[in-house]
Amino acid sequence: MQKMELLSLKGKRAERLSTGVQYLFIILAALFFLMPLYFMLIGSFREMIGAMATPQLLPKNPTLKNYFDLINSSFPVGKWMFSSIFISTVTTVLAVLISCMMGYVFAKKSFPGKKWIFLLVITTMMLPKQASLIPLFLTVKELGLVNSYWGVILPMISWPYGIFMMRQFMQEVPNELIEYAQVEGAGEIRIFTHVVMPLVKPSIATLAIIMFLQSWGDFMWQLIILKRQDMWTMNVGLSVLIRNASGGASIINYGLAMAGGCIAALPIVMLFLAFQKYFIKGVTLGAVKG
Amino acid sequence: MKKSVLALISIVMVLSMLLGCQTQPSVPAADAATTTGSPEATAAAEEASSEPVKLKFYAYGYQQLMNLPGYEDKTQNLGDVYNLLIDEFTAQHPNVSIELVTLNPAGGGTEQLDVDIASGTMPNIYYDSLLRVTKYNGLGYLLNLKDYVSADTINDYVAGSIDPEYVWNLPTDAGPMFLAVNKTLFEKIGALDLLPAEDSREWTTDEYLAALQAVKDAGIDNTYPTIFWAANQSGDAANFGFLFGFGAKFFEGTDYSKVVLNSAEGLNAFNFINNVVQSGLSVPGAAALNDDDMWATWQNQQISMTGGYSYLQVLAKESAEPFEAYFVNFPHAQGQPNPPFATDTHTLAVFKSENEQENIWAAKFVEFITSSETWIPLICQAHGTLSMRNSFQDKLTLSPELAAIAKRMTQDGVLSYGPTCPKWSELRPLYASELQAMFSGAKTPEQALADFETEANAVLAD
Amino acid sequence: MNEKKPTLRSILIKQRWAYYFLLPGLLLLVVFNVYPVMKTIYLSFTNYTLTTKDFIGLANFTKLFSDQKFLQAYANCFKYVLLLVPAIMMFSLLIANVLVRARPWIQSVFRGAFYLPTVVGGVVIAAVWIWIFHPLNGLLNYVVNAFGGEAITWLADVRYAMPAVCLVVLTWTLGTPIIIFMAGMLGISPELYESATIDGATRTQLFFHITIPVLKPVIVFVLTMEIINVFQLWEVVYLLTNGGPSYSTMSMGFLIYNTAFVSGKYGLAAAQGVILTLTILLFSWLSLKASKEA
Repeated sequence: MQKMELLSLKGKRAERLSTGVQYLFIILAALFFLMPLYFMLIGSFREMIGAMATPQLLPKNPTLKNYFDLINSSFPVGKWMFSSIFISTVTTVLAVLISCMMGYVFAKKSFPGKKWIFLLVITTMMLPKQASLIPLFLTVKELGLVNSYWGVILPMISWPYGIFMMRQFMQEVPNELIEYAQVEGAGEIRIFTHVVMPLVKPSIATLAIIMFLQSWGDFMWQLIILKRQDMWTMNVGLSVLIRNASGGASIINYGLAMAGGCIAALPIVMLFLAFQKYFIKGVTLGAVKG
Repeated sequence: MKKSVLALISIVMVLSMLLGCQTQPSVPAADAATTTGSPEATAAAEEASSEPVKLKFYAYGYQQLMNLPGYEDKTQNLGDVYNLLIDEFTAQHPNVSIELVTLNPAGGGTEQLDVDIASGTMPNIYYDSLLRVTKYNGLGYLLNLKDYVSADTINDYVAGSIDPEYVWNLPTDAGPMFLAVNKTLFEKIGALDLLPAEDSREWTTDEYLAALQAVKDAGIDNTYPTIFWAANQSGDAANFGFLFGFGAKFFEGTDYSKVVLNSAEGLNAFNFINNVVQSGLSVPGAAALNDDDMWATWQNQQISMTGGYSYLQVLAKESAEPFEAYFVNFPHAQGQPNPPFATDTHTLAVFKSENEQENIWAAKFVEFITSSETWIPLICQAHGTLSMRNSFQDKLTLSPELAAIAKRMTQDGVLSYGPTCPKWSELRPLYASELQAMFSGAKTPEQALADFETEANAVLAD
Repeated sequence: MNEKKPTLRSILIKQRWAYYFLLPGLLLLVVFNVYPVMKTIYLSFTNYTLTTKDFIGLANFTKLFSDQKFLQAYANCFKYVLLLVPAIMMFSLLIANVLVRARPWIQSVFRGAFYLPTVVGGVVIAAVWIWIFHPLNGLLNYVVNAFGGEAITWLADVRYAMPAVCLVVLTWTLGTPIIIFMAGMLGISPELYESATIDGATRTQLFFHITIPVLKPVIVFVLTMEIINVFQLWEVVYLLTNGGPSYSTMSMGFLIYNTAFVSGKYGLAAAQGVILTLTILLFSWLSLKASKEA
């Protein structure tokens, strides 16, 4: 990281102090954000059936029973994990591709009706999904996609969020670079893949993570499309698994739920870690210039 | 270049054809009669034929029905038990084939069936909790089984569990709701005599209050006499017995077009419950507690009694410090009879079909299930519920506590607290909201009750 | 130099690559986004339920404007947006700004810390929060008691329920803007800062005069998305308070879900959705205009 050179010493000390204060604030905020997650982790090692028990910083009688129950459950938890990972991965790859392609066009190309089409795209996001669920389901059913992974994947790919995001980031790519490449005789596809995309790598990585998460957590839709038990996703399956059998009412095994939550978070955490390298200030615009 | 353009154009054409050909979802033939009180006398116009018949069976995936004793290897998955039912029936009637759709319990609501109906797929037979089945009765979809099912079967049902004139559903089993008492705790404080006698299990509201007071006076650390909750609607039915004990009821007979809870009796009941909550006889913070807290405080022996279900007995046995559960009826006010029991019912219904043969065979399937001496006892055992048929009472293996309640039930009867009203799922949140306002002190009991009735009737009139 | 006025045909040919890039996504968009939305708008003029489907014109809309619950949910949405959106924008920008100057490993740690609640969020974390706010043995009341105060029924108290919901929403949603802004800030050429620093600019000046203007497209994106997300809020409300107490936390998103899936009134729910969409559209447009002036 480049250090900023400052002129006056007094200014330097003041800057250091304010940075220190800012860091303190951020550390406290981060701890606050992590606090519920910490208790979730601790909770996964406790037996808590029915409701959360009194707060404990460290479990008094820690047990691996919850994880054991998850792995040895008579439910196909492994298949659920596969479902979720498959759906989210395919959705993410295709969605990022589509978003980049369409974002590029909205950012760098001009054609009649561009503004209105873009506005239409964004406006469709403003209608809450619950309101349009039935019409969408009818469409998906007509296309014969019910009870198939593609019925979950396809509607998510063209989510305007990604298109909007890539357009904004690609707008910052200097036009000179593109023109330069065109002059050099590069084809449209080459310009896209070798000039534009590399410059927006951090935003692509960010979008990938957001898309993966979005697709992972699409509970309601997964519930009504995937009817076969071994095709359920982790979220749907877990909400069945954590309920104990009872006569007349459903009672939640919170310890099991916490363990399930921890395990369900693993794929995304791993993806996040894997993508960290794209967040480094790599190929900067300045370096390419000149 | 040209090839890809052609490909793209053809894709666009195909897709627009698909969209254009998309027909409007056929709105299933609704019934003219929208009030549930008016039964249709649809006599079975035909005899059951032996022509092939295809039926669709939508059944709720009850987790409890997995790993049934004696059939563990055949009921490994959610919904497997229904396949066994289908196999047994179709073995006797080879012309019938039944397709099973197991409803995912993660939903909690009726979304899955709704989207299928909206897209033109109707079930023939539907098995679910009465809470969810009732909605389709209100929409006019359900068949009056009176003329499709034998009179013997219909008369075999406990009074109040079905309407013999308008049999829109036939229960397999029902879990009564009652007061569960921590007998071990009362033994510890030497107040066993304050509890109802074992052979009668009945008591008055004064006796109930005395028992609560004894627990409060005993002053055990971190222990409360009882618990009430209103953070959400979950488990609301567990405490309706208090309302019935004062003679209050939600509806007048089978007239589900109007809520009548705001009566003198209703007000007495609300005042009584509120009194228990406000005078420290219940776990503090009732407005923010939910039924999860009921399970937890019961299991940890932090309460001496609570409204609830048969599972409380299991929890008592499996608790870290096991204790003895004692089931009694809700208290009745002076001058009122013992309150009838509210039940959580699992029931079968038949969706009307234009094909009369489908109706006939669907009804036969329903009758088969509800009369099965193999499966009904197993289902009851798995859920911890009772059969609603008189002839089955001695066919079940019940715990002594549950048997005592069953005996009480045959004497005090069953009262449908609400699910027979098709819009019950819309009334529940209203009730919970008013109860919450009352417990938190934001509204007086009079106000809460009056507001509930007004809002509820507005919803019903809509 | 013969500048002929470009014909439509020549534009289409010249820009054909634009269409190639657009087409696959546009196809999917039309089928799975635009068409259902159009259908829903149509349904808002009907009384669509499982058994009825008649065109009733504006009846749904006129009915809603005299519906207490709808009006309260609608007003609550504005409360949520005015409370949360400025907070989200401000905090995420400030935090991202501090973090981009740190070493990569510190960035990763904090990026993860703030984003993790978003990742895990859902039924499980809601359960933790309900416990934190629990009247009996919750963490918050534990602290309150330690300071000698009386336990509060946070989620059932009209004064505290909405702030509590807002707090939970903040922890669940702040992560995404933070990682987006960090991605944006990492793309800013350091040369822009160098020349200004040499001229004696302070960090604050750098932030307001270079970072923000350069990030404008990204800020526009995040602002719009957060407005949309907060207006559509429903999961936290559903999991934490069910809209209570006394409908003080009821949101439009939750109301629409209830109207559609509990009451079965899909036409009415569509109308509610349409009203919300128009509101969001107007609000976003006004916000963007206002921020341009700023």
